[in-house]
Amino acid sequence: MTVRQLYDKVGGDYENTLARFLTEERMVRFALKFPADQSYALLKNSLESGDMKEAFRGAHTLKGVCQNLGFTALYEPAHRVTEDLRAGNQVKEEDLRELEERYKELLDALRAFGESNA
Amino acid sequence: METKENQKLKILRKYLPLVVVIAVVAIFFAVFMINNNKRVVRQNSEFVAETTKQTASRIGSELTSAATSLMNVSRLCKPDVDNDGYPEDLKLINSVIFENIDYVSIEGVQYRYNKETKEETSFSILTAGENGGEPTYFTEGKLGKTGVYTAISDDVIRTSRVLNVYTPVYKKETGLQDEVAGVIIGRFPESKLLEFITQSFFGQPSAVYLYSLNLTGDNDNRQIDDIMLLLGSDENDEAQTEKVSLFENFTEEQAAQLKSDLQGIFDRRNESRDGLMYSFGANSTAYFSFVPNDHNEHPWLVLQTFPASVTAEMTKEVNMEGLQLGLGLILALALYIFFLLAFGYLERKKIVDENIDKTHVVNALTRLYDRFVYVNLDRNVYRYVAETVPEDADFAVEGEYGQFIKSVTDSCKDDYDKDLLGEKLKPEQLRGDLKQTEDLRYKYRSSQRGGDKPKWEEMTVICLSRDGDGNAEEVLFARQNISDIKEQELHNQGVLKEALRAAEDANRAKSDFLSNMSHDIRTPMNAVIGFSTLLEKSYDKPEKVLEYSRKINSSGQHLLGIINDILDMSKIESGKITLNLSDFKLSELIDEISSIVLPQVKAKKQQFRLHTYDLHHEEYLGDKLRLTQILNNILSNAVKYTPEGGAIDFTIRSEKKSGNIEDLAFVVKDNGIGMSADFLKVIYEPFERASDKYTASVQGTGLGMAITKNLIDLMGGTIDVKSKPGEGTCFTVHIQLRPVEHVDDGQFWKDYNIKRTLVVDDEKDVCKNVTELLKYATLEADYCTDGKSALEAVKKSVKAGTPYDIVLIDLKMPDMDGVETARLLRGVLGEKASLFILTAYDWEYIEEEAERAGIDAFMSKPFFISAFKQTISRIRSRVSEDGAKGGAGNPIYGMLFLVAEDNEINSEIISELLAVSGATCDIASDGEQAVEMFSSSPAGKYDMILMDVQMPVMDGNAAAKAIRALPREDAKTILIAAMTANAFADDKKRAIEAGMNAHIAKPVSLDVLKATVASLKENKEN
Repeated sequence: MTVRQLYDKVGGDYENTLARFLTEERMVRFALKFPADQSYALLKNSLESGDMKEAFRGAHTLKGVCQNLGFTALYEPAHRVTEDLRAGNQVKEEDLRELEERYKELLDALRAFGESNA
Repeated sequence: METKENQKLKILRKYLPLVVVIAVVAIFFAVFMINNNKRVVRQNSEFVAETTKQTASRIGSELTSAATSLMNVSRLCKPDVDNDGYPEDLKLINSVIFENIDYVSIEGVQYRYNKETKEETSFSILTAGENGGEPTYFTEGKLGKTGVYTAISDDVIRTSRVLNVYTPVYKKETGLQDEVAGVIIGRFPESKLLEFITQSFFGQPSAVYLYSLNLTGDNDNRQIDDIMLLLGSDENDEAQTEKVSLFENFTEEQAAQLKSDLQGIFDRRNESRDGLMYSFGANSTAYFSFVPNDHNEHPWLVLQTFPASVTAEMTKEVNMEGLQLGLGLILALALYIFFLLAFGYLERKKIVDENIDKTHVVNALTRLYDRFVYVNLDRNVYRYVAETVPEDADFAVEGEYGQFIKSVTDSCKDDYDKDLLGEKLKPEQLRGDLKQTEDLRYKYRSSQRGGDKPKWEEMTVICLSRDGDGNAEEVLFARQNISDIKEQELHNQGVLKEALRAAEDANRAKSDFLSNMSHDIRTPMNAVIGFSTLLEKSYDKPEKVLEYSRKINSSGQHLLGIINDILDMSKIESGKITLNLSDFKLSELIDEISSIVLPQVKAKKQQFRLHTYDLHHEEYLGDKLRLTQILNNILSNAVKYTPEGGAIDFTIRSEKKSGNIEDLAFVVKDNGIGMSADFLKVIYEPFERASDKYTASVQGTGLGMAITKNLIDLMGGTIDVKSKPGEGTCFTVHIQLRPVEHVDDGQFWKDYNIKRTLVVDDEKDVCKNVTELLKYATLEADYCTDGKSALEAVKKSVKAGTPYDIVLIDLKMPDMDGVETARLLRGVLGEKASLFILTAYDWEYIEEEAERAGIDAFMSKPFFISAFKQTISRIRSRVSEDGAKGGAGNPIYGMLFLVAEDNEINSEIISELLAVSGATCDIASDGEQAVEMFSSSPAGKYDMILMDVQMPVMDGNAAAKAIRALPREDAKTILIAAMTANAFADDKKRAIEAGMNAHIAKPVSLDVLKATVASLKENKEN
C-alpha cells in the first residue's frame, strides 16, 4: 500500500500534507505516531465523566493533530465537536458516532499499513 | 666456696641447739637412770636391811621362845638320876614347838623317845678326842647354860640338818638351880628352820642364809674365826651337809675385809642392831644381821639378799616411767619448739610478704622517683636510701646536709631555680614550710650530664617525723624525672597556640576575603557607575554609547560572576546544593566548554588542544550544568595562570567500570606558572588564593576551586592536582557516569540514503574510535591513515559499484592534508557523496578554499554521532530543499525557536520541519513552561517564540502576556507568533492584544512560517 492509497482510504489530504512534510517517509513516520496520541481518549473519557472543559481540550487537540497530519475525514467531526464544546452546546450524537467510526477506520487502516510495510 | 661454708655454718647453727638439747636430755636421763638405780638399790637395801633385821629378830625370838619353852620343860622334868633311861616326866610332856625332846644323861648317854611307838633309844654322845670328848651343847648344858646348835639329823630315812635347843635339867631332890641331872635337847625339824629363813620380796623368793660364827679368844675379846653356813633357803640337800664358807669365792682381801666389817658389827651387836650392807654386783644387795640370842654359843648371822631381778625390774619400771616422762617431756618440748617454729615461720612469712610488698612499692617508687634521700634536719645529715645513688658518682652517698643542697642547686640549669631551691631547702626554711603541710614540691630544670637536653625534675620533700614542737625532724627527698609530663604540657601549650593561630588565620582569611570581596565587588561596580555616568553625558554620541554600554555589560557580567560564586559557595556550605540529573550529550558539554574557553585562549594567544580517547558513548546521565561549571573553572584557571603563548591540553578519556557505569577522566594540563606545595595544601579551601606578583593581577574570589571540589564530591568523583611552580599544573577529575544507551534504528541513515563511510586520519586511534562509533550506529565504516590510501580505497569502492556515501577527512595530515585529499576524492566520487572535514582546529581561515575543494561541511573533533547526524541533516536539507539555505529565500535558517506546544505529535512535526529548514527549536509543553524557559535563557538566545494558544496550565495568550511583562530587555522585543487552527478574527485580535507579533494558522507550514518571519523581520528593520 502506498502512502497515497493510505490517505485515500482514510479520507486524508495527501497533496497538502506532502507539501508541508516534503517527503512521504516523514508523512508516514508521523502518521504512524497517531494511534499513540491520547487526545481521542481524553475526549471520550471527559465526555463520560462530564468534564466539558477537558473534553474540549481533548477535542481541540484531536482536531489540531488531524489537521496537522491531513486526516481530513476525522478532522471534520472533531472540528464540529470542538466547536460545540467551545460554545458550550450539547455535543451532537451523530457527530460523536461519526467521530468514533472514522477514528476506528483510521486506526485500522494505519495498523494495516504499518503491518504491510513492516 | 664461701657460700658453701656459710651454708654449712647456717645448718650447724640451725641444728646445734637441737643437738645440745638432745644431749642435755640424754645426760639428764642417764643421770636420772643412775640415780633411779641407786635409789632403788638404796631403797631395796634399806628394805632388805629391815627385813633381814626382822628375820634375824624373828629367828632370835623363835630361838628364845624355844629356849624358854625347853627351859619350862626342864623345870617340869625331874629325871630320876638313879634310873637310866628317858625320864618318865618327859614322856608326858607334849611340846608343840619341838619335834621331839631328847634327854642326855649326865653320863653322856642320849635318850630318845618315840611317842608313837613308845620306844626308847639311846646312844652315847661321848667320843674320844673331840672337845674333851663331849659335844659343846653337853658341856654347856652341864654348866647350866641354855643354847642352840645345829646338827645333822641321824634319821634313818634321810639326812637333814636339824636345829636343836638345849637346856639343863636338874635333879628332883635338889630343886631349882641345884644339881644338873642332864641336858634335854629340843629338836626343831628342818621344815621349822626353813620357815624361819624363808622370805620373799614381791613374789620373788629371796635368798636367806643363816651363818654360825666360830669365835676364838676369851669372852672379852672374841674374834670371828670362821663363818659357817648353817642353812640356806636355796641350798640343795648336798650343800646342807657341809659347812659352807662365806669366803670361799672371795679373794683374800675381800674375805678379810668382810671378816673385819662383820667383826666391827659383831663387836657392837649388843649396843646397836646395825648390820652390814653388802653388795653383789650392780643390782644385788644383801644384808648381814646378827640374830639376837643369849643362849647361843656361836652367834648366828643372817644374810638376806634382795632379788636382783626385782631390783632390775623396779629399776626398769622406774626407768620406764622416767623414760616415759622424759619422752613426754621431749615430746612436749618438741611440740613447743614446733609451735614456736611454726609461729616463727608464719610470723617470718608475714614479714617476708610484707617486705616483698614493700620491696615492690619501693621498686615501683624508685622507677617513678630516681633518687630517695633521707635527711635528718636536726643532725644536719643526708643519706641516699632505697638503693639509690647520687647521679654524680663522685658525690658521697651520705654526708652533711649542706653538701646535698649544693649538689641540687649545682644541677639546676636556670639561675632562678638555683636561687629558689638554695633558699627553700635550708633547714630552717624547710622546718617552717613543713609546719603547715606534710610535703613540698619543687619543679626545676636540671642540666643533664653529657646530655644536650636538660630534663625537668620534681623534688618532693616529705616530712617523716617531727619533734615535740611539731618541727620537722626527718624528711625524705624524692626526686622525679618529669620531662615527659612537662614536655606534654609544653606540647599541649603549643597545640593550643597552634589552634589559636589557626582560628586567627581562619578569621583573618575571612576578613581578608571580605576586604578582597569588597574590593573585587567595588571595582566592577565602580566601573558600572562610572560608565553609566559617562553614558548619560554622551547620549548624543552613538559610538561612545556603544562603547560604554559594552563596558557596563562586561563589568556587570563580571560582577554577576562574583556574586554567583559567593552564592554557590554559601549554598554548598549550607548543604543546600543538589544535583539536577538528566541525559546530556558529551558533545554539547564539550561545545559549551569550548565556546567559553576558546575566546579566553585566543585572547591570550595560547594553544588549546582537545584530546579524546575511548569514548564509547556520547550521552550520559548527569548534571551537565554542574559538570560544565567544574570543567570551566579548571580550564579558566588554566588559562588565567598560564602566560601568553602557553599551552593547555584538555583530555577526556572514558573507561568502562562494573555494570554499565563509565569512569570519565577529564585532564587539564597547562604549562603555566604552577603552584607551590604549600598552596596545593589549601587549594580547595575557600577564600584562598595564591598570592604573588603574577596572581595579584588576576581577578577572582578564591572560591572557584572550593566550589569545584565540593561539586566533585557531591558527584562522588575525585580531583587530583599535580603542580610545580614554573612548570605547570595538571588537574585530573574522575567522575563516574551512567551512559544512556540509544539503539540506533538506522532510520536516519535510510532517510538520507547513507550506508557506507570512510574515515581518513593519520592518527590510528582516532580512526578506530570514529569507525567504531559509526559501526555502532549501524553504518559500514572503513578507515585509512593517509590521503593516498584513501584515494585508493575510494577508487576501489567506485569500481565495485558501492561508493562511499560520506568520507570524514582529518584536516591536518602529513604528506597530503585534508583539503588536498578532499579535492582528489571529490574527483573520483563525483557530487553524490559528501566530504566532511574533521578537525580540532579553527577552520574559518580555510573555509573558502575548502568549499572550492568540494568539502561539504566541517566537524569539530571529537567526533560524535549526534553532531554527525546534525551536520548531515543540515547539508542534505540544504541540498534537497529549494531555498533551504540561508539568505532571502530562507529567513528562518539558523534561527532558534522556542515552541510552546502541548501535543507531542505536533511538537515533533514542527521541530522536524524547522530542522529541515536549518532552524532549531526548544519545546515547552505549556505556557507556563514557555515563560520559565524564556526567562531563564540568556539574552538573545531565542530568535522567536511559536505559541500554541490552546494549552493546559497556561494558555498561549497568558504566556505571551507574561513574557512581555518580564523585566528584561528582550522581553519586549522577542518575536512571538501565535499558532491556532481558527483563523477567526477575534483569535488574532486576542493574540495581538496579548502582545504577540503575528498569527500563524494551523497546520503550520514552512512556507507560511517563512513568510511570516520574513515580514516580521522586515517590520522590525523598519
